[in-house]
Amino acid sequence: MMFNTGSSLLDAVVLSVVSAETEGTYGYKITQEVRDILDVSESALYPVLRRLQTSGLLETYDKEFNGRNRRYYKITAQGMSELDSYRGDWISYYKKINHILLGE
Amino acid sequence: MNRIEYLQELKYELKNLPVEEQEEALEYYRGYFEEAENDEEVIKEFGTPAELAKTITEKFASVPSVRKVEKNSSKDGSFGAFTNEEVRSLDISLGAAEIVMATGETFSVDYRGIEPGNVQYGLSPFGTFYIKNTLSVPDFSLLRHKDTADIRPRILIKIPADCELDLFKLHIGAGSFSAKTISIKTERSYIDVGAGNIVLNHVDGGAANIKCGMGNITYTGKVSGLVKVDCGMGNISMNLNGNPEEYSLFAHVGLGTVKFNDTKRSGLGNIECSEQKQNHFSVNVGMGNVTIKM
Repeated sequence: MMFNTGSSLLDAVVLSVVSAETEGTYGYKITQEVRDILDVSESALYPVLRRLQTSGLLETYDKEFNGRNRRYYKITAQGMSELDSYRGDWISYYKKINHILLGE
Repeated sequence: MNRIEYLQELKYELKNLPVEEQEEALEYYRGYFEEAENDEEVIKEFGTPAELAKTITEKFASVPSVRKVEKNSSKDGSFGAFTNEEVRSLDISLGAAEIVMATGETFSVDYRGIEPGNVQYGLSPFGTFYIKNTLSVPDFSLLRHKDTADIRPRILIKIPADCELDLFKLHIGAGSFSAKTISIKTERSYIDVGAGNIVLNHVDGGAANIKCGMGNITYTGKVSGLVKVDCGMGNISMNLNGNPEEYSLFAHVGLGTVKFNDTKRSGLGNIECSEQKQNHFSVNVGMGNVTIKM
């Protein structure tokens, strides 16, 4: 992608990807899904997940998978409300950009 | 490099983070390797362990580095007094003084023959008790004590008996550092001497990184995990507890000598063990001498 991804857009995308799974999802899968749409390095996702977790927007739990431990990330209520405000911000942002770029 | 080596290196590179943060990050990347099932691809994506560690630690950059710093109020008093609960790591970086480490009630510093303010110490938010020179050329600043002073610069550092740490960092420029009566157990240690002398007894240094320029290091105690030993022109002598069967060694020798129990190599060449074990010495010697006895 030719546009830079700012950290708040990355936060919003990660929150949204995690919120799509009611049971939560794990680091590798989140990374793959985010990388399908944004040009971020694989190593950059852990600090984002950890930051969202320590600020209470995501929570983790461990579950056994194929005889080993897998760590799942799940969105919290606080994370949901943060995601909602990101969605609001995004709508007004893309409208302004569309207006200037596409004359809509 | 396979994933075990990669994660071991990563663990080392994350040494400056609090232990729970290290564990958290390692657990994540361990899981990531397992999901991806392609070590080579993942490592290519992540870059070197040092690069990955930089990405991980950068999120801590906004945290203020000092929680409290004690004022140097009197010339001959003792400063500090932090407890074993508060102190998780020790970071000592000093120049040309005569430094002694001994057992005390708490972590504290006492010094003579040095201008007040030339030694700085305090406790960082991550629980690192640091002691360092304040002048800009750290290795030689302590040489600048008054020529007329009859007392030699001396520093006494006290630590509690049987203290347990996450990280023990010791950097000595041209001074002498002696810790014969203490007992430290630490997850990781970093010991570095320029042209001085370091004597450490009863240290369980965990994954140790030992570097010696022109000086001498005498180390008695234990090590485990990945142990790096680098010796330019000096001497490193390690007398260790442990079963030699559980340790492997790779040594790269220049003009110097490496002795590992009964194995000895003088002059250009390598010492190689057939397999790398959980506890592994990686030794690099220029013109110096390294002796490891178990």
